Amino acid sequence: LLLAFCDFTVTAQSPTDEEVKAIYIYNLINFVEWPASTFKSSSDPFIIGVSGGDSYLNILRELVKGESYRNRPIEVRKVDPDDVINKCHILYIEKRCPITDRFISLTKDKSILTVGDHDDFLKSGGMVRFFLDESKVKIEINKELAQQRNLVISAKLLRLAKLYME
Amino acid sequence: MISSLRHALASMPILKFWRNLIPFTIAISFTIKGFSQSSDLAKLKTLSIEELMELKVTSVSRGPEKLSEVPSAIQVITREDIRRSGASSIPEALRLATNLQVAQLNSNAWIISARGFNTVFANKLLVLIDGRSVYTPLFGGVLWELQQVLLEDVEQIEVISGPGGTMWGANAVNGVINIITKGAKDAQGVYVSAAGMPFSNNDQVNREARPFSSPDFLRHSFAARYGTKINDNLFVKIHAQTTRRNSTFLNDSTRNTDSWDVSQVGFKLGWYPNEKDVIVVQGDVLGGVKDKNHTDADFDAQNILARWTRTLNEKSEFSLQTYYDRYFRDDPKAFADELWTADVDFQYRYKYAAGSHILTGAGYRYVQDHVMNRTNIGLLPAYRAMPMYNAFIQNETQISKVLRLTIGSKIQHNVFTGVEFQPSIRSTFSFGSTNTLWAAISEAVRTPSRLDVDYYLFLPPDPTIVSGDINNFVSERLKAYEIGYRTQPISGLSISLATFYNEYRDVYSVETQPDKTLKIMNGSEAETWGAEFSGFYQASSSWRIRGGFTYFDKSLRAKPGRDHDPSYLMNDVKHQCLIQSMFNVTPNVEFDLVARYLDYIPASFATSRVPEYVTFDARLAYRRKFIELAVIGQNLASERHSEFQSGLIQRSVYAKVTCRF
Repeated sequence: LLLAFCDFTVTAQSPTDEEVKAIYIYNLINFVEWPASTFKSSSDPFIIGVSGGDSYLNILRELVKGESYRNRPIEVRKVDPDDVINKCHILYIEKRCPITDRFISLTKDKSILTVGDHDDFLKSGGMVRFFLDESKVKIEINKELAQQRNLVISAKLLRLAKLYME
Repeated sequence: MISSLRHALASMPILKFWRNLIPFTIAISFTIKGFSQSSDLAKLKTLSIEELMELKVTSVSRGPEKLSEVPSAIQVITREDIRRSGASSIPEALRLATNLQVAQLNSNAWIISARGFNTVFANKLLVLIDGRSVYTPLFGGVLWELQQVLLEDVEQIEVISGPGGTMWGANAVNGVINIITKGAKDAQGVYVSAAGMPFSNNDQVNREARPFSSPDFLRHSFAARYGTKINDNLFVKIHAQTTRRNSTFLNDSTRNTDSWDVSQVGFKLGWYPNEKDVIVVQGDVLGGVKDKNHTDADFDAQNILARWTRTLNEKSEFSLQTYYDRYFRDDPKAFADELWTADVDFQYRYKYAAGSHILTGAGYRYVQDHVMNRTNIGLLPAYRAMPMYNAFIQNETQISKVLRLTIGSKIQHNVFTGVEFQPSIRSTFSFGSTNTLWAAISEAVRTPSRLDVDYYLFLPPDPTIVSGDINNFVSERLKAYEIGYRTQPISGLSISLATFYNEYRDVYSVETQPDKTLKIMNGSEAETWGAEFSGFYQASSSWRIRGGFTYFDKSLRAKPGRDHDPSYLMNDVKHQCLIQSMFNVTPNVEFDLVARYLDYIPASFATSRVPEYVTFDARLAYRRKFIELAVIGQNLASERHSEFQSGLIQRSVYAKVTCRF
């Protein structure tokens, strides 16, 4: 029991990969430019869709509290009922998601930044992938795909990320 | 009836324990929530991207990755697909996978098979619930009435048709059904539901045969779940459910005597003690009563499972799983059986390059049963111990950017036939961003069950008329050839096609001996071939469709020189088709349909012809905030239809209220 208690104090100090990935997702808002056409009216919110476990949802909701994107409120939604996909600006697909293919196919032709952490995420048509390298969370980007979908990713982020080549 | 059940449940020690614990755990989660995470997050939020990239993290989001590029014929049923289908049990949910043939025999029995050999003793499918094997070595099939899962907490059901013996072991001859429930961490909060037919005038017992039909197959079903966070590393959920189903009909339009009820309580715990380990402990107990020709047939089952997964480093991890499982079924007029299983499994995974890894493992399972033969048909000896051990290795290599190759084999030892090998070779060719072409050749075995080797039918004073032959019965063997293709041709559409050609050797037979008795032997053989098409289409932001079509054909015969008719072993439909439509009329109103067609099943000397049928289920639901109100109709196309033999399944309607907090 004592041992378990010690472990608990250790983990409390180093953040989890889920927390860090969520922070990345939150930061992407400032490194990517979405076409104005993705907002129907001036009051439309910026929407982050999350598929998978509730833990990402909770962390992201905590992160965007009181934040805004160009005077628009930021909303985090669970994309279980598929009707919200069309309105998403960022779609995060957790690696455990059983229907990644469906989600990817739904975002075709749309300016939705797809983010995931599965090994084959970019190969199956995603744009931004998280991967672990020596216990650090790194990102890989499919720059061409983002360009095709009219998403402008900042040069700074592209410089720091690993670039995907088909 | 309901109150007596509630009484029975309330008096169970486990419920008392939880009732006392719940206020306590709520208190804990309230005190912990709030500060620990958000203060860390606020700090993390201020970091630059460069700083984030250098931050060491604790990996908690491990676990299996999705199977989209797996070179096999996989169809996935999600929780959302199940919810919107109106399915109220696992067998009903499995109808949504068209690579399965699902036939409801009566109120409490289903026959489920993949790629042929649909019989009452369908025995070529491996079914796992959260890693626990649930087919019974009694006859090699699944007692579906014992498989109770809270559908709300199902994360997904993977249905893989085709052999999976290399990874999964014996019995995974024609397919694997993998039912995965949510972890305690992802099933937090309160869920309560009540479903049933409130206006039914039927008595609960249905002892008298009634010549009319009322649409009330699901009499009532109540379920509740509570999930909570005990601290940052420990999550727990508990659930309870009880269901009563009314009787179906006989072909003379009188009521069958097959109504039943079942109740279950279960728990799941997820513990993340440090950055390397994940520990999951789960278990459940269930009990119920089936009406069998005016006699109560009791059943009960218990299981507990623990799994420890440790990440050694970025490249390797292992998992150790153990479970204990017991069930008991009593049919006072025929047969009773009790079966205990203890299982331990070890798996190690080593990733040696991008896209390449080795998976290896070993396991031991001890199964023991006890049967009570109450008629002239039964199993001898009454007790049997069936230890099994296995080891497997599988290597997946990324040969080039587009080509991936998987080679492996399982070696297994069982008490009846000794050592068995199950090798396979699979390759995947990916091109474009979303096209996958795959091919596989594999071998699999169906090891003998008690029903094959220990069966007897005895009519005194004659000698035994039919008997198993433990000294000579061998495993049934399959060599399978598969080619499949998956693609996403346009936005919102994903489709998959799997084709197969199977060769079965040493298949079960019952043959006449020179002394006029009958013996169970391996005197049949077969070839089967077919195609399974499935797809998903998001037609608009508020409408999506999924479905599939399966074609199946076969050649089944006695081995050359043998004289018997094996046709009753394969009661398979040639064509089947299903379309599920999920439509959001408004953001709060859902209207859903599932239509299915199954071809006729030809008669054999032991089974009757089942006509082809088309039927559909419909669901209308209103959702607002935490509440969901739904009306569900099942098998609506006709008053009654037959799915196997001569039993009739009636049209059924029920209402459901669900709350989620």
